[in-house]
Amino acid sequence: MSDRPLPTETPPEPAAEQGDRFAALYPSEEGIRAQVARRQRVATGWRVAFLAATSLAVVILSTLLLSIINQSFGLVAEQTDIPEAQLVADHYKSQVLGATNVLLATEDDADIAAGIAADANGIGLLGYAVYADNGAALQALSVDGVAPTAETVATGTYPLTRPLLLYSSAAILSDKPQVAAFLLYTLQHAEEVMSELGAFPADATALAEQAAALATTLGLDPAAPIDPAAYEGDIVISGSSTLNPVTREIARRFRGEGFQGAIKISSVGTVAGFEAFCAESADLVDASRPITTVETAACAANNLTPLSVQVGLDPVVVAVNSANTFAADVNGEQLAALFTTATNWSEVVAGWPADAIHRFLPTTDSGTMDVFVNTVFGGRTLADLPYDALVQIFKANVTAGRCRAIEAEQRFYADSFVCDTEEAFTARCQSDAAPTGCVLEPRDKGSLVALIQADVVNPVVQQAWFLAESLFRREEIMAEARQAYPTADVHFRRWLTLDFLTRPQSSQPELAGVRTAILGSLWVVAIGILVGFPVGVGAAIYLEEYADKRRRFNRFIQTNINNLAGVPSIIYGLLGLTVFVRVLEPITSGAVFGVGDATTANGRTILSAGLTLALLILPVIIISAQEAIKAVPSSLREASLGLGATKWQTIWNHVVPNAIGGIMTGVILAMSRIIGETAPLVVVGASTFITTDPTGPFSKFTTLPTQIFQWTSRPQQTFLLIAGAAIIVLLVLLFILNAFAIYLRNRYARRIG
Amino acid sequence: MRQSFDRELQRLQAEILRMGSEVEEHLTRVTTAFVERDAYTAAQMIAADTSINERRIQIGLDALTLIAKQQPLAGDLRLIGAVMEIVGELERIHDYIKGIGKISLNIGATPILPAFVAHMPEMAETAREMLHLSLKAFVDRDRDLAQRVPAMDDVVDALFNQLYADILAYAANQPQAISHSNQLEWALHNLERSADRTINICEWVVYMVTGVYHEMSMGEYEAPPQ
Amino acid sequence: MTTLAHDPSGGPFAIEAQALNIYYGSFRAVKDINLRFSTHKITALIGPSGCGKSTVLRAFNRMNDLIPISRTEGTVLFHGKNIYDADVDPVQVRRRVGMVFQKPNPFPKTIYENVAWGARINGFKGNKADMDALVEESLRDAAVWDDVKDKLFQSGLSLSGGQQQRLCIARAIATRPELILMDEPASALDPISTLRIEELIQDLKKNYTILIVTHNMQQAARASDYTAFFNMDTDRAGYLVEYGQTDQVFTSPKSEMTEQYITGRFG
Repeated sequence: MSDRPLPTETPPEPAAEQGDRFAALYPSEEGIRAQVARRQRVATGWRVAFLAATSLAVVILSTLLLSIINQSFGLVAEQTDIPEAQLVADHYKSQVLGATNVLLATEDDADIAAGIAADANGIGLLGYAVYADNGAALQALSVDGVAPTAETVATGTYPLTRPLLLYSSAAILSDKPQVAAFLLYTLQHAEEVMSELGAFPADATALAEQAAALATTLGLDPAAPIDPAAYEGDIVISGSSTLNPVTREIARRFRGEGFQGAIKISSVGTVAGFEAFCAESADLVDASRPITTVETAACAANNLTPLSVQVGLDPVVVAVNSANTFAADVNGEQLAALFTTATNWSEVVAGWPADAIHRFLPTTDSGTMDVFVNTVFGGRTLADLPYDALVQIFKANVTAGRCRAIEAEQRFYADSFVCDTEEAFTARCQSDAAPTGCVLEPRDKGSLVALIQADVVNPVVQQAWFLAESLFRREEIMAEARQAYPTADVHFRRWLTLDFLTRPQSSQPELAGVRTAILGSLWVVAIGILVGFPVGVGAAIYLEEYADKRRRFNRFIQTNINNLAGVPSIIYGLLGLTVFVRVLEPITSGAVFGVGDATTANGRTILSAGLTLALLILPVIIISAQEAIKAVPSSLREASLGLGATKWQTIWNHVVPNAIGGIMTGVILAMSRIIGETAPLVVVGASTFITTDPTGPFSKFTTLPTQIFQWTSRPQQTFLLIAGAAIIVLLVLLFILNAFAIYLRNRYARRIG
Repeated sequence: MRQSFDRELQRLQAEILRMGSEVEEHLTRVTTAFVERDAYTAAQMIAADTSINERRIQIGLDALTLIAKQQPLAGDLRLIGAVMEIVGELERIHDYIKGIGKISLNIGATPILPAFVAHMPEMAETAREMLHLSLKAFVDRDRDLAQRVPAMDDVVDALFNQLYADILAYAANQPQAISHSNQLEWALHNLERSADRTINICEWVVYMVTGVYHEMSMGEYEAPPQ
Repeated sequence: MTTLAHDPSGGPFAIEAQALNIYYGSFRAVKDINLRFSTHKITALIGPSGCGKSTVLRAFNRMNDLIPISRTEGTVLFHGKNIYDADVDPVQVRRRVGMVFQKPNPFPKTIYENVAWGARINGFKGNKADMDALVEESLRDAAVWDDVKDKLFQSGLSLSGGQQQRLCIARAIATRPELILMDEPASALDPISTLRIEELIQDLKKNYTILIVTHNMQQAARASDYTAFFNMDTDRAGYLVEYGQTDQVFTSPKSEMTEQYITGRFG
C-alpha cells in the first residue's frame, strides 16, 4: 500500500552495493555457503569416481592373478605306466637280492627262520609271527633304538611295520556269500586269533567298525555273529606268508563251526596273491601291503575293483642268530649296508667281526621285502640311482628299437653301446643323414632321468582340477576320480615347480618345462635391449642436441618416430622377416661367421628376433630418451659450455648422466613390452617345438610368451594348466628384470646426484 | 611510480620553504627592532630560535628516514642532500638573527649610530631578498637564478664596509664607548654572514640541479676587512 | 647514441664491442653497441627488462651462439682479435671468458668435481696434488672454502643458494679466465648472500676483469667501478644510453633517461 520499501531483515551491505559493483555480482553470504558446498559435492563425486576406477582396476588385476594361480595348482588324476617309486624300489630290491652271500631267498618265512637259526653269521628279514615261533634261536635287532614289541608296533614307532590286509572285490563278495561270510568272520575273530598266535591285531575298534561297515554293505546284521554252518562252496585264499598262519587258524575255526565247503589257502607271497586275484583264480588275498596302481589296473582289466580290510599290523623283523653277540641295534644307514653293500660284518660297524654276512631273504615279490625297501630306501627317486642302473632300467622297460633310436640320438656311454652295435652305429654315422648321436657328448644323468620319466614312467594326467575346486570339493573329486580313473594316482600338484623351470619343452605336458623358453626370452630381450638402447639413445641425443629443429627434414623424422611408436608389432615382425631373416640371412644365420647352428640353416635365429625387437622398441626408447634429455635443465648445459667445454663434453658429462634416469625408465618400459611380445616373434620364426637350449645368437629359439601362446592353443586341458604356470613364470621374470633395471637406474642416478 | 616518495619529497620542500619564509621575515623584523630599539620584538626573535632549531632537526631526520627507506639515487639523492644542507644553512641564518636580537638587548637604551639606522635595514633587505631568491631557485630548480644571487652580496659587502668604517671612526672618537662599538660590530657581522649563508644555499641548489658542486662565495669576511 | 664516451677510464681495456648488433631472427635485440671494458675493473650493465643487457653480456663469450636463431653483427675485440671471426672457435673464447649465471647451477656432482671438472677438460696438466691445490685455492678465492672444506665430496647441490653461487664462481675461476661475465649473479639469493657475493666480486677484481649484469641498482652502485645503462628504443632494440663511472652515474647521470631509470621513475 505504501510507497515506502519494506524494512529488510538484514541491513544492506554498504560496501558491496555502493563502491564495488562486481562484489554485488557474487552470491550473498548464504549463497556463498551453498555454492561452496555444491563445489565440494562435485569434487567428492569425482573423487568417488576415481576411487571406483582404481578399485575396478585392482579387482580386475586380482581376478586375473587369482585365475592364473587357480589354474596353476590343484588336484590331478595322474596315471603312470610304471610308477617311479616302483622302478626305484625294484632297483633296491635287486640290490638286496644281488648282495653277496645270499644263502637263501624264499617265500617262506619259516625257512628263513630256520636258516638264520642254523648260521651264526646269519641275518634275515621275516615276519614277526614266524620270528615269534622261533624265539629261542633268533634275536631281533632294534632299529634306531626301537625293538619290535607289541607296544612299539602299535604306536608306530618301530619303522619296519606294515599293515596286514585282506583283499577281495564287491563282485566276488556278492557272487560268493561264503567268501563274504569268511571275511566277516575273520574281522570278528582277528583280534582273538592273532593275539593267540602272538601276532599284532589291528585296533579292536577299527576291526569292529570295518566289520559293521562290511555287514551293512552285504545286507547282514552287523551285530550277529557269523554262522559258518549256513554257508557252502569253495573259498580260495592266496597271498602273503606272513598272514598265512592267521588265515589258516581262522579257516580251521571256520570249518570247526560247521562250514561245509573247501578252503584252499596258498602261501605264495603278496605279489603272486594279487596276480591270482586279478586273474580271477583267488577270492581273497592275504596282503602284507596295499595294492599298487599297476595291480589295480590289472584287476580293472577283469572288471575287478579291489576292496580291502585291515586285520593287523606286522613288523618286519631283522633277525640274527641268537649266538650273535655284537649286533643289537642298527640305524637306517647300517641297515642298508647290512643288506646291500657290505660283505663282512666289520664293514658295517668297525669292531664287528670280519666274518662274512650270511643273508636269508624273502623273494622280490614278498611284502616283507617291499616294507624293508620302502622303509630303508624310501624317499629316493630316479635321480638318486647310479647312471648304470638308470641305463638298465631304461633298457629293460622299452623296446629294443626304441632303445636303439634313443642311443642313435645321443649315446649312453662314450665307449660302449647298450642297445646298438658298434658296426651298425658306425654305419649310420657314415650315411648322409647321420644321427645327432654321432657328434653329441653322451647323455648326462639328468637327461637320462627325463628320458625314463617320459618313456617308462610316462605319467599322463587324466584329469586336473583347479585350485578352488580342489580346495572346496576335495572329497567329491577324490570319489569322482576313483570312479573314473581307478588306477590313477590322485594327488595335489603344483604345476609351477622347480622342475617346470628347469625342464625343456616336451610333448607331454606332465614333463614339459620352460627352461628353453626362459633362456630364449632372456637372449632375445638382451639382444633387443643391447641393440635398441645404444641406437635409441644415440638417435635421441642427435635429435635433441644436434639436429636443427627448424629444418623441415628433422621435423619430418621426429613426426615419423612418434608415429612408429604406434605401429602394431606384427608390422615389425614382417619387417624383421624380410630384412633380418631373408635379406640378411647370411649374417643372422651366422653363416658368414661360420658359427651357425647346423640344424638351423636359415635366418630364423635369436639374432633376427632380437634385432626385430630392437626395431620395435627403438621409437619408445628414442622418445623417452628425448623427453629425458629435454628435462635436463639448460642451465647445466650453459654452465658446462661456459667453462669452455665442447658440445660433446657437455653431452657426455652432463646431459646424458642427468638424463639417464629417464632414459632407463624408457628402457624398462621397452623391456616390459618386448618380454611379452609374441606376434613379431612368431612371424620372424620362433620355433614351435624346441627342446634344446639356445647356445648363442645363431640358435633356434622360442620365448615364454610364444610358448604360452602355443600351449593355450593345444586341445589338451593339461597344456592350459602349464600355460598358467608359464604365465606366472613370465610375470616373475618380468618383475625380476624390471627390479634389476630399476635398481640399476636408482644406483646410477644416486651416484650422479 | 614512486608516488609516495615524490609526495614525501614535496612535503620536505614545503617544509624548507615555510621555514625559509619565516627566516626571511625574522631577518627583517629583527633588523627593524634593532634600529628602532624595539626590545620586545628583539626578545621575540630570540625566543623563535628554539622552534626553528626544532624544525631543522625534524627536517633533517625526515630526510634521513627517506634515505633509509627509499634509497634515493641521482636527482632524488641530490635533492635530499640539498635539503639537508639548506635546512642547516637556514638554521645558521636564524642563529644570526637570534644574535642580533641578543645584541639589541645588550645595547639596551643606548642610541645607536645614525648611519646604522639609515643603512642596516637596506642591508637586511638585500640579504632577505638573496635568501628569498635562493629558495625560489631551489623550488624552481633554477640554476641560473641560483648563480645570479651571489652577485647581490656585493651590495651587502659594500654596506658592511661602509658601516664598519663608521664604527671604527666612532670608536676612535669615543674610546669610552668601545663596548658599544663592539656590540654594533657584532650585529653588522651577523647580518653579513646571513648573506654569505644564502650563497651556500645557492651552491647546493646548483649542485642539486647539475650534480656539480661549485664554490661561489670567496668567504671574504671570515676575518675583518683591512 | 653512439657518440657517448665508450671508455670512461681511458686506461687499458680487456674487451671491446664495436658496432655490435644482435638479432633474434629478424628482430634486432641490440643495436649499435660500442663499449670498452677496463682491465681489472668491475663494470655493471644495468637497464630495464628487455633492454638487451644480458644479450650484450653473452655476446662477449659467444653464449648467444647457443640460441639457434640468434645472429651477431659487428666486432668484439679480445686481445685485438674479433671473437666473431670465422676462424675463432667459441670454445676457445669461453675458455678465456668465464661466466656465472643468474641461478646457481652447480653440476650435480661433488663439490670437488665441480671445480676440478673445468680444469680437467681444459687440459690441466697437474697431478692429483696440483688438482687438490687448485680446487682449494679456487674455493678459497671464491670465499667458500670454509663452508665446504669438510664436505668436498658431497654433492654441490647440498649447499645453500649463496654457497652454490660461490661454488660456481670458484668453478669459473679455476680455469683462470681473463674475464668473468656475471649474469645477475645474486638475483636468486638472500640479502646476506648477496652482500657476500658483492664482497667477493670486489676481491676478484684484483685478478679478473668483471662484467656484471644486475637489476639491483644498489648492487650496481655498491659493487661496480663503471656502469653502463641500456634502454630499449621505440623499435624495442636495446641500446647503450650512458656509460660512466659508477659514482657519477648514480649521483648525477648525464642522461635524463638514466636519471629516471635509476630513481625508479620508469623501467
